[in-house]
Amino acid sequence: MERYNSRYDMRRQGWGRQMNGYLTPARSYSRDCDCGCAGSASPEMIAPLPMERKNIDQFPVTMAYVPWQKWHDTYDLCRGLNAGTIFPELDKPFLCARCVK
Amino acid sequence: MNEKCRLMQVIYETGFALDDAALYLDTHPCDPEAIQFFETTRNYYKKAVEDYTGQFGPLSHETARFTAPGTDGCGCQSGNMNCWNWVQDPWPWEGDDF
Amino acid sequence: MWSYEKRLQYPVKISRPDPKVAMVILTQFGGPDGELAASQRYLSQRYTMPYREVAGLLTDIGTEELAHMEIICAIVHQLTRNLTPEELVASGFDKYYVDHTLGLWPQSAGGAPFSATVFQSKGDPITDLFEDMAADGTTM
Repeated sequence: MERYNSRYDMRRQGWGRQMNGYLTPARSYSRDCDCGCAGSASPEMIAPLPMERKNIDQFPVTMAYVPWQKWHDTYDLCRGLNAGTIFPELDKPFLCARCVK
Repeated sequence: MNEKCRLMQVIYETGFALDDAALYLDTHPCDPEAIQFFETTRNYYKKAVEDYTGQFGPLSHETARFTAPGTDGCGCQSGNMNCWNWVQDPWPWEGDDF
Repeated sequence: MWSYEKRLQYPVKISRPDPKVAMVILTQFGGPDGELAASQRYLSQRYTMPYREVAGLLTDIGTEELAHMEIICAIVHQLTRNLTPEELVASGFDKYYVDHTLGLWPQSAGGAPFSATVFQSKGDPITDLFEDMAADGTTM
């Protein structure tokens, strides 16, 4: 088993950038942890949002629909722990009372 | 960063990833990518837990042991008794490197 | 059947007590939208879900909410350590302290005790799932 690296990506051939062979841990548990895993990639860059809106105006009215989640790239595990989800498409910003006047 | 913190960090990261992936698998039980992610992550998690338990104490009843009296503040009276090491370490809410 | 893993899902290490903030955070423990309510909602609804996948999902989410409850309690516990009587009075935490000292008791920030009235479990899968979406409504 390869040494653990929180940046391992199932889709890549090798491992992510090694840091002394082991994970460099976050020194603080803030969103931008010092391990550098937060990176600059937005959630949308990692898991593009599906843009399927085909025939949505033909769906029957008075019903609620929930689109089906599919597996895309996940966050690096360090970023996932700090974001509260490993799924970029579920990483929504917290906007206090955005729609309330 | 000492070894205890390092191993706990691996356990936090992989453990959390497993929690999230399990929820996905609950509704997508046959998804091959999710299955591969879960199995790989679980291997790292189990290894980290094993290493941590061996050096720093149990994280579950399954791996709790009976250690020699007098170690880690064991309160058992002297003699041939051993101590249930489950209660010897700080509890997670105390904030001591957990 | 539940097992316990002797760690938090996410670590909590607070060095500076703050009972005023603790009073507000407490609502995430025992308030209407808190983690205790969430865990009981899902764990109660799972028995009448007609699909194994959904029963599994509610079981696992309910279990995770118990872990979240533990995090919230750890936060409140660490925020209320080593308080002087003056700090208790100044922060407004004295009203809670008189009844519970530093014990963790599930109530809202406003003082309402935890109650099952904050969630619903109706036995109908669509109704219950809408209850869940309304409760965990951060994405709505």
